[in-house]
Amino acid sequence: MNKYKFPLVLCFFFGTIPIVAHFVNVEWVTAPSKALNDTWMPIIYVFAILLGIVNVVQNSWTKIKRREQGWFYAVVLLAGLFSMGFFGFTGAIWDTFGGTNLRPDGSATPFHWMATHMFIPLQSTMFALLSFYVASAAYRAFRARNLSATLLLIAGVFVMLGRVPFGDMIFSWLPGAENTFSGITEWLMDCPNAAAQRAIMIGAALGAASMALKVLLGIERSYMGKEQED
Amino acid sequence: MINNWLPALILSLIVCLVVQEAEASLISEFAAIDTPLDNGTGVTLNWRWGGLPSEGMRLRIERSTISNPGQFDLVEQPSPSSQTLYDQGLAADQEYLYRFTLTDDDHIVEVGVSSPVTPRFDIDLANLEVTDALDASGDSIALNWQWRQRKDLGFHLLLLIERKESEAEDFFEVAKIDPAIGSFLDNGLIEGSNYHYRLTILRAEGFEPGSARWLSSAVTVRRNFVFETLQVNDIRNDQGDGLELRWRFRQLDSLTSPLLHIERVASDGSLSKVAEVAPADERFTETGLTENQPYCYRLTLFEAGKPVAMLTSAEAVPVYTVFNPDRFNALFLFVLFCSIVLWLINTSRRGKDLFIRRIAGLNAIEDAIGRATEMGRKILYIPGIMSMDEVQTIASLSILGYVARYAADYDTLFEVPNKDPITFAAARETVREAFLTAGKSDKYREDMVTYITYDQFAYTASVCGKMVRERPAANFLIGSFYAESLLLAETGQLTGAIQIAGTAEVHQLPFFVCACDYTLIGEELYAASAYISKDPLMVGSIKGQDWVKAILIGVLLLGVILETAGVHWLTAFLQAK
Amino acid sequence: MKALLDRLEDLDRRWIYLIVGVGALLPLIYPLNLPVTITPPVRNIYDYIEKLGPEDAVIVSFDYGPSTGPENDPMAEAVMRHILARGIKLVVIALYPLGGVTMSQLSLDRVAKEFPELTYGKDYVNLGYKSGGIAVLKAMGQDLHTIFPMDLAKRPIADLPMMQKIKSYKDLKLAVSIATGIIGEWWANLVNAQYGLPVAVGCTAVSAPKYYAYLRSGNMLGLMGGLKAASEYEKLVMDGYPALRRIYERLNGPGAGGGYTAIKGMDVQSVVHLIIIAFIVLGNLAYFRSRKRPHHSEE
Repeated sequence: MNKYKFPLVLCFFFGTIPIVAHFVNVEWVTAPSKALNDTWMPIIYVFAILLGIVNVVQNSWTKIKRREQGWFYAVVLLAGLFSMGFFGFTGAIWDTFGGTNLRPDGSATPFHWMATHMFIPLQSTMFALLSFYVASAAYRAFRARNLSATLLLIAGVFVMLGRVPFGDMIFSWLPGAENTFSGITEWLMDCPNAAAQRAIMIGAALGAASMALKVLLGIERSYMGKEQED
Repeated sequence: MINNWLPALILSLIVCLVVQEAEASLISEFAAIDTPLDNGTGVTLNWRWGGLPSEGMRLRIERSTISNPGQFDLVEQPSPSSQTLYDQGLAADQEYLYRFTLTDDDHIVEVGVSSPVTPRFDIDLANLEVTDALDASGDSIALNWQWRQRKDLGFHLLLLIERKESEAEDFFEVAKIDPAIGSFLDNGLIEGSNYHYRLTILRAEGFEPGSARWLSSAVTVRRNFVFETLQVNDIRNDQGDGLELRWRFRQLDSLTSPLLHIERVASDGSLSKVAEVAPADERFTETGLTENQPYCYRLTLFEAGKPVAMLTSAEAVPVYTVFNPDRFNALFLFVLFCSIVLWLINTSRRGKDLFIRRIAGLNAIEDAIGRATEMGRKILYIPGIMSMDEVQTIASLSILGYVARYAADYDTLFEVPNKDPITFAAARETVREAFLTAGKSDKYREDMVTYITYDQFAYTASVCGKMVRERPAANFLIGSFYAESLLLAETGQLTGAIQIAGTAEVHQLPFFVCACDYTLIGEELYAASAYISKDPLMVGSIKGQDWVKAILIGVLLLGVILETAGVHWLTAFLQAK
Repeated sequence: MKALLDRLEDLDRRWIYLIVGVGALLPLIYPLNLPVTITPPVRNIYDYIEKLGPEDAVIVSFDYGPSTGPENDPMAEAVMRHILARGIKLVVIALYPLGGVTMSQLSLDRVAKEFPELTYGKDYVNLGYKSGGIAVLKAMGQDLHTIFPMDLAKRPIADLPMMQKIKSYKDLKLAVSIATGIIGEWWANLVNAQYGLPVAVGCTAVSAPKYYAYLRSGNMLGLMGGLKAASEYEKLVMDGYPALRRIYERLNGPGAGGGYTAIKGMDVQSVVHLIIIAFIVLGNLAYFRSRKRPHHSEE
């Protein structure tokens, strides 16, 4: 058996177990299926993470050693990796420095302090960039070039206005029409949007099922690095 | 006793004799007796009336007590022809004397005195409550009372319960029961109607004194709760030791503390308690039962500690089933799907040419790589942020293989930053194999495929930084993306790179459509490997999924028509369980 | 005007960023207190929780990380305030791997301080984070105590009085998933569909379109999509509970002296939306002008 056949057999076997477990109620089928998720996957993940961390350290060290452009940021990366990793690892396993959450007296452990004062603000900052990028993307993309682009533009404006109080304020002077914009927005989200979403979801789900079947049967092997057999 | 009354008695007799000398008596046989069958507070006065009264005639009945024998107080002035008077509210076991005075235009015509009488306790019906009964049928009224009776009464009694619906109607008999029971449930009433009740004590032999009588105010009958349709079913897909009980319960009136007792009914009729649950749960599962043995349950609804309703189930048998019959629909669709896909794979393998429409994004891959080669800048390939358990990532890696081979052929700089470590390992293998296949294994470098970090936005920041600093000429964003999709796409757009994106995440597609030059939408991503390679097996699978989609559209339309017509079997069949 | 439109055609995006930045900053310093209208998907969640009482328990799952905190925190806190104000038992868990448990801890601490009469362990608990996603959701349907044997502070769950009666989904009346990605879908698809537990989801505005399909099909009883929905829920609890109104009035105070709420955030969102719409209109004017220009030069 060449080096690609054995993984294919493994793939078929372990891929079939959860499918069968969904339909039959036999202990020697459902137990392995549960074990795959609960035990084997985390183990594989841990080894893969180790591989990833080694790669990060290697690349960063190479950058520092060669004094490549931006090498100082590699120093910052390694400092962050090791300091947070150290406090997190020791705190979680041996409860050193009070663990990884708040101490009973309410004071922050080093890991918790770094998480709340560095990690969370940085994450929020990156997410906040989206608002600026949305503005520039909308400015560039919402042009009435043709009929479908115009429809997109009109729907977009309605939804944007309906999602904020200003939209309803436009017609608030008309009795009974206070919720016009938010009503139109809800309808757009409920009907055309939901219909289109469902259609794409169904198509994507069928595509995913077909892809999964190909992987199980060994027809699709590119994930192993092997192209299809001729 | 007779010594106390002697002076008054003699005086009254003298008066009577004097008056009787004047004319023949109109009132005779004047007597006071203890009202039979009452609670000792009543005296009944009877007399015989002879003759027709004139307009000015008045009858005056007075009473005196042993403590004040000479003092007679007015009881009532009834009509002389009524011949009966009930005096109530007296003190039990106390002696009373009654005197009547008949006058005509203020002239005394006759006077008479009764023998002393002592009212005695015989019976008492106290704390009568007539209320709407707590029930699910809304057709019952409950009557409750406390009954006391003199032990040496000497005869049996019956309680006559009568009912009427409106003030104008007469009462009609509902039941005659032993009053000592203390309660009565009147069923079969009409929900929402008002009812009045009258309770009368009778002697069992049929004598009806008419004095011991109680009336209730109007009571409205209501449905207080819904408690019905108990079903016990075998739990499918278990070890054959479980049963599920389902019932319907809805509170229509305020209940203070409803509780449901669940008991198992054994074959000999004995009960064993299983659980106490809130009736609103409407579901209970019992496990640990014996396979293939029948079980029967009784559910008793308690309100404030009293049972108000009961349901008994039919027998059910826990059975071990290897195959979960609830999932037959999923198995059927799964088999149908696989059959169609495999059939079309086979058809394609036999040489039949199957058409796939043009996908612009996939056609542009070679152009993008060519552009990067001409500009001498790199290609950046981002395989999504999810792991290899996500099918989109597998699809992305299949495209990565082709892109890497083109990059190897054209000697183009190539980089694949990864967020997931398992994807990183798989991507590295894919790129290495692609370079090997292209015969350019010496051009392959380990740092082409890197692992950045597992955090979503830290990864995004790193990749955006790469885009801004290194200005790749072509960006491929293919795989599963979430919030970082716009950040990556817009940053790439800013740098002027040609961008080809592809994802099945429907809520990220709009961002890619806005910011990228080409977007593979949903299943186009999965069709990529077939489209690029033109491999018959892959093309056949694409056609198979298209056929299934066509069948699904047909089923959807059929379902809409059937549901509109009120036919639900198709929806029921397709329901996920 | 024509010169302006010509310049708008190739507008440097940094101008857009600057104007959006100013538009985001000013309403935080000078609150606009814009009116909030309530939509049915949000009201459904509120009305459902209104029917529950001290005998009932609700689970709130923190399925988001710090990145979406500004959008998800207000809805999580508004729901938790509502639950605690009604005396309903609150179980908090986190299923999001990166920061979910931190967000749950921070939010619950913030909210619990406002209810000093309630006791941890008796009225609310934080069971912490559990990895496994779908597997965890399935296992909770069988036995919650096996999946979460200890709470966040490593106390055995059996020692927490309120958890004596909460063993699985059967003992809960509602699950509220505050989600950023796919986890909310799992709650609707799996927990509601297979176990019958009513599910409500609070998600980012970007994910909201996807969840409408589940709302329509009945897998979710309500949906809070984005910051606007969070502000609607805050308005509902403010109108229903005077004590919560006082809390929110303090938080909605101007500048950094108050706190952060969705109502405050909506001022920012409203202004930024208007700015984007203005740019879209200007961009289209510039586009139409540029389409006409070649004809003029030909003449």
